[in-house]
Formats: sequence, C-alpha cells, structure tokens
Amino acid sequence: MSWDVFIWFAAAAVIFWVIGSVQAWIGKRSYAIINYGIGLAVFFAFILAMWISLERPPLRTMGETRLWYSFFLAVAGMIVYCRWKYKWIPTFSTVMALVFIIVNLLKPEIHSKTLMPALQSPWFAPHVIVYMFSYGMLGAATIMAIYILIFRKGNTSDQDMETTDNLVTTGLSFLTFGMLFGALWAQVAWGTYWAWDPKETWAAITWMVYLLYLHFRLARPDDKETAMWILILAFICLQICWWGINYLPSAHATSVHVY
Amino acid sequence: MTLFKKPWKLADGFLFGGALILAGFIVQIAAGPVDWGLVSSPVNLILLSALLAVLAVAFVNRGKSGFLAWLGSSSAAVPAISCTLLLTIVMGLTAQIPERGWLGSMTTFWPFVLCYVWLTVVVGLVALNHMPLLGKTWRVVPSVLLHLGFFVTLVCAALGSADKKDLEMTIHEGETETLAVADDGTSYDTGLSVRLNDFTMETYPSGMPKRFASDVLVRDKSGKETAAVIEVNKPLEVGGWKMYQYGYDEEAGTESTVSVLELVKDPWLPFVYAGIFMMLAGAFCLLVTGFKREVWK
Repeated sequence: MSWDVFIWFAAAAVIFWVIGSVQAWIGKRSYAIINYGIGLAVFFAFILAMWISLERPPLRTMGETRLWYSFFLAVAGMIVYCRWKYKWIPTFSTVMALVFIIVNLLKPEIHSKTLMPALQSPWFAPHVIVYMFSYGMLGAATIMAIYILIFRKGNTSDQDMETTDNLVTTGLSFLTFGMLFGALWAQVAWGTYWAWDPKETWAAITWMVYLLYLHFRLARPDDKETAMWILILAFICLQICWWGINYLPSAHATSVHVY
Repeated sequence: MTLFKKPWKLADGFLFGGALILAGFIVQIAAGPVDWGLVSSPVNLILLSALLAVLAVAFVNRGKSGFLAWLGSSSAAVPAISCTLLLTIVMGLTAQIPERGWLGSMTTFWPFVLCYVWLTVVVGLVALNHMPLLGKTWRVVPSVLLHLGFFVTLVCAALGSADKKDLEMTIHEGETETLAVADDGTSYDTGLSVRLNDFTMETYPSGMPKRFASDVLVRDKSGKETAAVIEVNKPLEVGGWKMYQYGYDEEAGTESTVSVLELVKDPWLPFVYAGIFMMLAGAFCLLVTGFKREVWK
C-alpha cells in the first residue's frame, strides 16, 4: 500500500461521509450513522495498510499525523452526533476532515520507512495517537464555538454549552495523556522529562488555555461569549504547537521537534 | 483592612497578577535573575516546608479572610492561569538563548517564576479544599487527583532541579573512564568505571542514523560488574546513575570509535513520577465522571 492509492480510499470514505451527512440533515439517523461508520472503516483500512507496508506506525511525518487527524475528526463528529444529535455536525466534521485530506493530496511529504533512533520507542504510537484523538475532539469543540458565536448569538442553549464543555473535557483529558506520555518518553530517551523545548512550551500553552476555558466556565458561567473566544485562542495555540512552530523563528533556533 | 475582609473577585485577581508581575520586574532589576543553583539541598527542603506551612495556614484560615477564600477558588484560578499563560506564550515566541537577555532565559525571569509560584499555591489550595469532599461524593476524585498531582509535579520539578546531576562521559573504544563533565565544564568522579568494548552505528541507505549503541562493562563502587548494551531509548541503571546513549564522533559517523554517554542522577524524580501518575489517573477518572459545574466549584 502506498500514498498513490490514498486518493481512492479517501474519495470512497468522503462519499460515505457525505451520504451520511445528507441523511443526518433529513433526519434519517440510523442510516446516517451506518454510512458514516462505513466511511470511517474505509479510511481506517488505509491507515492500517500503510502501517503494515511501512513496517512502522504511520505517525512520523506531518502528512501521516494529518491522516490520523482526519480520521479522529470524523470519529469525534460521529460521537457528538450519536450523543447529542446535532444534525449539522456530520457535515462540519466531514468538511474539516476533507480539508486535511486535500492538504495531504496536494502536499504529499516524504513518507519513507526511516525512523530515527529517538523515535524507536513503545511510547511513540500511544503518544501521537492520543494527541491526534484529542485534537479531533478539540477541533469539534472549535466548531461548536464558531457555531455558538455566529449562529446562536444571544440565545445559546444549555445543551450547546454542555456539549462544548464535554468536548473540551474529553479533549483535555487526552491532551493530558499525550503531554505526560511525552514527558515519560523524554525521560527514557534523554534523561529529562521536561526541558522547555519549544514544542513542549507550546504543548504546555495549549494545555493551559483549555484549563483556562474550564476554570472560566466555573468562575463566570454566564459569560458564554468570552468562553467561546478562549476556545478560539486555544485552537490557534494548538495549531501553533502542532505545525506552526516549524515556521516560528524562536523554535527553529533551539527545537529538537522541528520536522 | 477591608481588602482582606471583602470577598475577592475576578477583577481583583487580575490586579493581583499585574502587581505580581510588576514586583517580579523590580526584583529582577534589583537582584538579577533567579539563581536556581541556590535551591539545592537543604535549601529546597526548607522552601518546601515553608510552602506547605503557608498552604496549611491559608487552608485553616480560609473562612476568616476574603483573600484566602478567594485564593483557593476558580476566581483565583482564572487570573493565575491567564498570567502564567501570558508569560509562557512570551517564552514560546522568544528563542530561549540566555545571551539574549531576560526574555531569552524565562525560567530565571522573576515575573515568570512568581506567576508559577502563584499558580502552584492556587492548585495546592484547591487540592486541599476538595479533599474533605471525598467523603461526600466520588465525583470529586478527578479534581483531587489532577490538582494534587499537578501540585506535586510542579513543586518537585522546580525544587529538585538543582539536585539533579546531568553529566557527559566521553569514552574511546577499549578504554575505561571514571570521570564525567557537567554543563559548566567541571569534572566529577562518578564512582563508576566504565569500559567501552564496542560502539556500533547503523544507518539507513539514505545515510540517516538508524541505531547507535555502546557495548559497555560498568564496575560500581562495591566492585560489582554489569555488562550491557546502552542505546537510545534503552538506558542502563547502575550504581544510582542512569546512563543514556547521548552521542558519538559525528565526523567519523559509522566509523566512530568514540561514544558519549549521559549520566543522570535525579533524587526528586520518584516524586515527580508520583505526581505525573496521579495526573494520568485523574485525567482517566475525569473521562468517567465528566465535568459537572456543581462538583468542581
């Protein structure tokens, strides 16, 4: 299996997701969930096949992490739809997953079999997979924030807020796993669990903005608009942490995480 | 003083944070950057006792003072996180190179350190406030684990940093070494004698390093010998030290007959680990209980 056939798997998955999204709009819930699930299975089949043919988990390059991100965005969308029944959410997560699929098609980076020694660790797969799952959930929280800020101005329901809080809580739990797995791994690889490497600094920043959101919700439960703006800020920090630091001069000078 | 009688709110917290950052600037100008080297044993143990005493006093008197009641509440958490976040973002945007002045060395910058101390105090107080609730509802378990774990991790990481020994040992194949060098260039007798039997380096066809490993024989003070292969991600623990594969002669590449090992001794590490595992357990429990405003307040 190689990236040459990615377009076919991606196209098949997206077609199922689009069908599922349309069925969600017209209220055919069971059909929507089934089609969305088939799309997820097709997409995951490609990830698995890549894993086998690369002889390592496809988690090293930016392109490979985007693969998981698309997958987990769709997973997060499906979980939210099953649990809270927003009919627009499958469409939104399909569009977001599609953006990252298109980025992968237009900018296929080198996907070789090589894995440098520091990455040859049992911590590698869990560290990146929990991070990508977290990013997927927090991506869905960002969608909720945009929805609340633009379409729900003034009449945000308790359910909207509960959904957003739950997405952030789940995403933050996994973000905590990802960050701490990274610390435990760094201790084994370098003898230091935390070195304020720019990637670590931005991981801490991202973690703290989501903490800020939850504590702000406790301190000022009625100020929903500010809470949503904190989520937008959090999402920007998350993107800087994930790929933005490759373009930050401050990180280029010192980071071991730029790739 | 009315300031300490009336209940403090969010806005008071941001004023407090601003004052703290300003105070940090003044100390920085007056006394220079934070010297973490001074915080080695026993100073760190004294600071730890002082911190715990302050927390105990604040906890016991929380009903008597508007300020102390606020310090362990979400109205203090929001400004404390915001100020810490702001300074950490500054750190993320500036290259951390000490020669570049204050902002190039944020971990020794007083406003940065003071904000983290404030955050630590708030986190510790919240842990204390939530602990008595454990008897009433199990839903508070994730909060206690997360706050207590974060508190233990922050405190032990900061106070333990000066007690950590992090040395580099350079050995040639067939030779034996006992000394290792610290960051500042001073040599230490490690109490170990390390013989490098063989250094191996493998590369991918592209020339990228695939594996490098040192075949060593280590004798500790008691005369006990340990034979091992040390490679990246596979450290060796011997005589109280952890030995990591760190580097080699990069010019010689695969032909290198020199290996650089990193020797680490960190007496506070078990406590940092305890904190990290508490946080992991807390994050897991949080997935189960979810976030309920009534409980977390």
